[in-house]
Amino acid sequence: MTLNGVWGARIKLVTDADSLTLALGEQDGQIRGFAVLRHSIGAPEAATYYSVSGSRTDRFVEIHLGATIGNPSPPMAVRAALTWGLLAGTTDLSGVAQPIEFRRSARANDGVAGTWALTSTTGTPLAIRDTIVVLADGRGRRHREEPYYGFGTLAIWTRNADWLVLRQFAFVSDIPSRDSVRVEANALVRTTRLFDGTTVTETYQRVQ
Amino acid sequence: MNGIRTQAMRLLGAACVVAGCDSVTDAPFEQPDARPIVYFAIDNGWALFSVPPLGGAPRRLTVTQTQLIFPALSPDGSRLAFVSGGDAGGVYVGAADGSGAERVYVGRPDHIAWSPDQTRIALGVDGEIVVVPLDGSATDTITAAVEVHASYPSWSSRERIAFTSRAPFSFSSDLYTIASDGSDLRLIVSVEGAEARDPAWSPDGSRLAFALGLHGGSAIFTVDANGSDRRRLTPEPQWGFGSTDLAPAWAPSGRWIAFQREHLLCSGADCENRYDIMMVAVEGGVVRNLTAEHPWGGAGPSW
Repeated sequence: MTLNGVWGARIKLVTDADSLTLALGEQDGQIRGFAVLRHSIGAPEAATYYSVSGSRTDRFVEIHLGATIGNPSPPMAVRAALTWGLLAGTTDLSGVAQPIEFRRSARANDGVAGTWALTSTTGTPLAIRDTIVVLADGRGRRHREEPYYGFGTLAIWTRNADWLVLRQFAFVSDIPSRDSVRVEANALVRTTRLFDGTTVTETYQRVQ
Repeated sequence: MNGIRTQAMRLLGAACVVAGCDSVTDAPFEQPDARPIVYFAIDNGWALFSVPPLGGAPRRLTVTQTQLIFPALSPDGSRLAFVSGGDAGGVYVGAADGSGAERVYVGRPDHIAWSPDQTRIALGVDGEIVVVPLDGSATDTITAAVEVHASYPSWSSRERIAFTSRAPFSFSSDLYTIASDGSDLRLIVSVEGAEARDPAWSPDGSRLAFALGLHGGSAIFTVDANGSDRRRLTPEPQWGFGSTDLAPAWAPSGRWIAFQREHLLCSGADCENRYDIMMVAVEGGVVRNLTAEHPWGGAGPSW
């Protein structure tokens, strides 16, 4: 069973309602990805991002979380075994070992999985290129190129009614941690209101 | 020669252990290829660097201009052209280390390519390919008479210029070649739903290296000058490992290709998404990271 996908677990940080989400990619026994630690108190968007690296031998997985941005947090590790679709083991968050059990996050695909490319802009163009990759397992990628700025990032996506919400691995502060596009019949659409009051609509078409 | 070759293979083997390899190649490393690869990176603003392909620390070039991007070594490696985005912005040409550079063009092209005789440069400017003689005579827009939106020129030893054409906001682009006098336009690579970009001629003008894929997920390929025999050099991007491979540059021998890779680079528990200068044998195989140990990474190599 592959680790590729999005995994979620409850974790006791401040309260029992804190959560840790892993977005993992696996190749030749190596693991890469990112993690989002969400706190149950504070602002709804309060979260700490970690880069993830690790390894897997048979069903045993060791994952290291480091290089945080957002709320400063010490690095931590997860040692777990993949059994019956669960990733269960321990984590050493805050220096104290505690059990942790990840479940694969389900996604309502709704046909949104695929590769979407920016194909038109009304108003003043903001970007030269923009690609949103939506994988059926909940992972995503985003690459945006503007005239004097650009970023590429891993992401997790969710659906919220007519919206596709991307939680982007904001490993540096100038990458937005969230982005939302409206899901229309055959397109993704983002509307941005600029400081001067004008509106720019960017439309993405499915290309794969 | 054997010593250099052995050293190269040892370095490639070490890189394989650290970074993981698809397979091990035995491509020979020839003396001309030992000349440093020049590239740009962020180090208190955009700056030019060189790195020896056989291993060693990158060195920042001492150039008086600021905001430096798109370096281009001349075919014999004796001169360097680059773009400055600073106050006195434009295209500069100087010695191989960037010293003594003088402005030869006012404007900000998307790429620079040297003519085989090193008397002219081709620039991608506002959707056209502009040839600029270095003796100060008049420029020539060689794509003025053809229906393309051209960028990223590369000038072959056989006097053909390769470029990519992409309509604004199109998600696909094609790769063309044209004679350096503006005649004989040929479509070389066109893949529906993907961008063919960043062409680079091999030193003998027989093949082209280029990037193919969508923005954010591309790999390096080579193809014959007539568009046949397309070969993949770098793997399909994979989530978390995958990469955006762009901007290939041939070694003087034609046996190696350097390119820029966007990827998630991990050191222990810490990972960062960044650009690095990589090299791979033209037959494929081991991909070696030349800038992994350095905080600024790199982009836009010229060899």
